[in-house]
Amino acid sequence: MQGVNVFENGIGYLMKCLSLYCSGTGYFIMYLFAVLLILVKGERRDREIFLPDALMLLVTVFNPVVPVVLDRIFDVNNEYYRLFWLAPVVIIVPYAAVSVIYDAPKGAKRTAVAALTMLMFVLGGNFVYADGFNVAENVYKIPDELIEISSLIHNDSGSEYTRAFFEYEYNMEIRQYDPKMLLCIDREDYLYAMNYSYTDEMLADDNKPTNRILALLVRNQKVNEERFKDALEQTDTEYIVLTAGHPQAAFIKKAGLYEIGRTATHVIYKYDLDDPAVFGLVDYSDAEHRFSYRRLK
Amino acid sequence: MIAAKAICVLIFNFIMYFAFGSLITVRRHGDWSATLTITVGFFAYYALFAIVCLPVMLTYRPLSLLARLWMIPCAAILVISSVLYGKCWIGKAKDIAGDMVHNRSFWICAAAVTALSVAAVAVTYNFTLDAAYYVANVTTNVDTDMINVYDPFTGNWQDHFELRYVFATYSVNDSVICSITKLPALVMTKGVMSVTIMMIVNGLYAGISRFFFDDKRRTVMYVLMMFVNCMFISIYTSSNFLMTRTYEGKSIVGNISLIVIFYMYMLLVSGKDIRGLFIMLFIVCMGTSTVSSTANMVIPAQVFALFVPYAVIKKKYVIILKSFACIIPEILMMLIYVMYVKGYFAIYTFPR
Repeated sequence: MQGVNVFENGIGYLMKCLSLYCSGTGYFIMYLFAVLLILVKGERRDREIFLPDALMLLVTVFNPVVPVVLDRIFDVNNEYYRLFWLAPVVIIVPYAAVSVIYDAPKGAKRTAVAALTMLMFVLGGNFVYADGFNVAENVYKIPDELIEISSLIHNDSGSEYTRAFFEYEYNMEIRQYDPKMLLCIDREDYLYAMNYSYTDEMLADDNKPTNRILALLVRNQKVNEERFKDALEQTDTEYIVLTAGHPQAAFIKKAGLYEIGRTATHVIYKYDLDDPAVFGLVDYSDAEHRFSYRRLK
Repeated sequence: MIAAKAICVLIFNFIMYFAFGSLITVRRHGDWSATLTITVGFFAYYALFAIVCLPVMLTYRPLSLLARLWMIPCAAILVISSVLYGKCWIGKAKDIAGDMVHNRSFWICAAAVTALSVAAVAVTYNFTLDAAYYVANVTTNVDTDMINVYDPFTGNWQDHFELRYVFATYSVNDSVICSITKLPALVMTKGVMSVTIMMIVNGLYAGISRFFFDDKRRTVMYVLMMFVNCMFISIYTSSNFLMTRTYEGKSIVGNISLIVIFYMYMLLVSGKDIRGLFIMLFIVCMGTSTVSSTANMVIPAQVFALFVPYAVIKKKYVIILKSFACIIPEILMMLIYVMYVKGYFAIYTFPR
């Protein structure tokens, strides 16, 4: 889970994890109430179904010591929350709710209980479309503008494959649509630069050309113009796509890049490589088709 | 044209899952569940696909070869299943039609909720970082006509297979279908597979609510189950994965695998005569391990949390052994992955 790790939090890790997992929703508390309800009022079959599982989860997954022990064997920091999926919230909470509603006497009382239950469900949750129902612009479910950019670059490039830099969302989305668009920055590097997992000192390491691109275009750090152009040469990056008004637009124009097209919100810049690479696929036609592995230890 | 193709692939998916599942769940002279047949068939399909895919991938053969090879078991199983169980299918269809007449309100409600949830995942736009791997991997495989040898993030050739993903061949199946049908990868993953997953989830919810209640309460429970999914939202919950990242392997693990295992456990506890329950469980566990590496952690935990206490309470200790046998695929995958992460070996993408 982002920003929470077992090493720093010890047995407090579980509660922090749970708190992030629930993020203000009351459904986990409803799960506990549902278990209690079944313990107190449930039929034998329902007890047999839900209670042993709940008890097992309590002593394992929801035991604060378990992530600490597990972390010594595996790195569980990022994925421990997935064990919370084992609690059958989606089954037991509706089941308990229906039982409570229909246990109430028919008529006004039942209606009131049903209304209260629904109110609890609504107030205790975060609606999935609370920020709006975002209808996709096209059948590919990516922005129309990205399709336009892809087309503009390929029309300009003339070669089958070309390499480019995109900003965050487009960097993550372009290859889902256009596999012929190679990227100079991969997902992890982009994220680490963006969330400052890469320190200024790390990005200042001149040996890695992608660092210079990230430093300038993601972190807006100062980069020597010649070293930036050298980074584009070394990574064979011909195109840079930036939001219109990007703070480094003036810098990259000064470095010799020029605009080859623009869309509603983005500008596509081109850099004329001294020695443009021709990208091709690895030739497997003569390869021996045998399993190849190496024992490293 | 794309929409028509997508609908055909969607129908094909369910026909294949039904054919695969029938071989495991259908009883000629007994009751069987169509929901379980489709769900178990889903995992049987991906488990068998992994068995066919891995040798092709690990010997650097093209995706198009895998596509041709994969058609053979699919066609064979479709024919065998139709011949063996065609009459059972017709009988089941008649039973369901009869049930629709008797329980009209439940079916209307189920159809409406399914249609709404399917429409929601089919038309919404969601930005997720993981799609940068899963979907781009499908486009890259189709474009290069190879399997997992190029880095989906950048398009660069990879020196060795990334083992975290290599056994999760679920997305390679999407590549195969795209390669055969020429359906765009984004439509296949975010469209067809999202709808497929959502329909299976709805089927399971219908089965579970009918398990608990046999009157109008089941309709209320079914609606509430989907409602909880719409409300229990943080970036970590399985409900969020279902509603926003439906097609991803993790979503399948959290919303189909864990739920169907729970459903099987409910059937076991209730004493219903489900023959071959542990074979179905094994298929689900094995299939899940080929869908996402998340399975290697959560599936063994789920199986043990449910079946071990039951075995102890009922003093049926053989169930512990059966449960352990079911999670062997996950344990093997976990061991292989740990050895890879600890740097014991690498599997190359070119012979050396």
